[in-house]
Amino acid sequence: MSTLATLDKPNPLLERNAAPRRWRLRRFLSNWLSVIGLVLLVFLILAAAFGPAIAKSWLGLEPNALRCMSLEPPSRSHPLGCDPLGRDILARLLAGGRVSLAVGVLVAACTTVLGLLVGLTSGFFGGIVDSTLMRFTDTLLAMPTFFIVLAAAAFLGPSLFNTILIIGFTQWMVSARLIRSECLAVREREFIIAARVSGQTSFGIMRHILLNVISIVVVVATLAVATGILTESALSYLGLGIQPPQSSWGSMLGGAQGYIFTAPMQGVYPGLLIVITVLTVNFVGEGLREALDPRLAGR
Amino acid sequence: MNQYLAKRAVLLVPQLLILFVVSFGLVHLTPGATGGVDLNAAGSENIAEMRARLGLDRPLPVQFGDWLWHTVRLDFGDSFLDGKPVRDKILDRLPATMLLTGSALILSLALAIPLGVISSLKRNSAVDYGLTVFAFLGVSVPAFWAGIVAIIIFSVQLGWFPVQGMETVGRHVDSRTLDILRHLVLPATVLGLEGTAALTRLVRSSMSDVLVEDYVRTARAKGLAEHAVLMRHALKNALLPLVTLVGLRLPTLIGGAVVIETIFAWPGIGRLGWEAVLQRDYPIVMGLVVFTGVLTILGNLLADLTYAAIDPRIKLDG
Repeated sequence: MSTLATLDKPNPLLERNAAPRRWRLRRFLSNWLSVIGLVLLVFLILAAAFGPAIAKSWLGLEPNALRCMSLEPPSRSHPLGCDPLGRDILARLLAGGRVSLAVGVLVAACTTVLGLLVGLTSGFFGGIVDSTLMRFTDTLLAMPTFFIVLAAAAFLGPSLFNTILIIGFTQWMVSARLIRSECLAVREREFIIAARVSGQTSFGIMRHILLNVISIVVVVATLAVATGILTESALSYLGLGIQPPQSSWGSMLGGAQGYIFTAPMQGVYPGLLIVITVLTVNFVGEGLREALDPRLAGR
Repeated sequence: MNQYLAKRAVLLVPQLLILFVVSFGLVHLTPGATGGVDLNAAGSENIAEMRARLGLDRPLPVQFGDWLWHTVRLDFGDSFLDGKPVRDKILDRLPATMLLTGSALILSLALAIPLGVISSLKRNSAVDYGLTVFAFLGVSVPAFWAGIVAIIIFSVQLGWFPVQGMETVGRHVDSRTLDILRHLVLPATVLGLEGTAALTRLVRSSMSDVLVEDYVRTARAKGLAEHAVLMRHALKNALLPLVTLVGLRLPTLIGGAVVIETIFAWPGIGRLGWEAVLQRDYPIVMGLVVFTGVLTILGNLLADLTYAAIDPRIKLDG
């Protein structure tokens, strides 16, 4: 197809990026699941940020204080009761939310930076660089990473920092693949060709590509938050993530499993919160995907 | 076909190499691991002697070569705890994991194929919407929590299934097979449901793609009954991508098995790995990383070859 013909025809790719910002906002708001997700997520973030302080000053609840009897039933002073060691469950849930959200966001930052590095390099240079990097990525993708995560947690020693690092370094492959394919698509667009023709440096062209794949990066990062939260909770459940006495939803579940006969609700609250958090993050991610990149919707 | 086979087999080399380097690096380059031996326990003055005796003072490439030579002969060393060869311990536990992951895979395929076909035929119906919700739940509910809730509901409250383990211990059972099956129901269902959502979405989109193909229209035009069109012409082609996806699901299945086996005290390799990590039995951990890694890589090879064998559209000599 000649250049003139391409210019005549409205290019759907160009049209997408030309869409005013409020269109994208409207598209996001038109998906009611995403809106509910966003509202809930903001509430969860606020609860994690200010909840522990509020619970402490109003109800005198502290996540690590041994203030009540083992497995005390819910009461006025302990709204959700106490865990086997006599610690308030509500305070531990709030503190655990802080850990979960922080780990999720930091893991997402880690995977997105790695994914961008690999994806952008691969998508920008193409050819042999691309095929080498992608073969490497695919190999890692095909490995049972969970065993490697377990082994790394054992060798490095479990801690908050190591947990984030280990999950980040084993979960970046999907981000890299998605960012790479978007870079490859952007690389062939007219303005990149124009930039090449006008003698832009490689760095300048890379910057152009980066700015045009930002929307997919946002989506990929959001979905990585969900993966991060899920993997952290699984690790902590197995006793290889966040270490006691620090509270985490995963380790609360691990501790609750011994009491399924006597206090089954102990195992319900933290899990419910994990599900709600991950669901809201996924809803928001899906909404962002539809709003920023309609072509990807439903994939 | 032979050329494709050769090309695909060559891919194995970098894959296995990356796996070996990552596994070796894990154990040798991380602090506090030193080849899986806790040197501090030996007392600081003995460290040098200990390093020499264990061969840890040799250059890393030499150590890597040595380790690789043992590993390719499936010699993963002996367990720190009971001195039994790691290979035997893994092979002992393997059947239980195969039974669990195999049943889970069969269950998720048995659910995903009909559900995916129905929702692709009836787009935007109640089934289709239900499926979307199910897919979201599938990626958001952690398997270990689903396991705990399943135990609370079906074992503790209703008493239908045993809480844990693979067999009844200390009591006579009429049939060992039936007993194992009863223990298998909950863990296999939880593990299977986890992957069903992703598989269903794949069947749905693949079936939707196939339904608009010319050969489906041709089949309809020559007056075939609708179920014959769907079953013989559409579904057969729509299921091809499943082969690849099943291969790609292997790592997730094995990872999920670690958690599920831990919750249900299922005596498989996942639980073996978890126990080994907690007890710092490093040879077992390393053996499992390499063993499951090689199994997965071979599984993917098998999936690719099967795909090539059943899909004539793949250029076999390309």
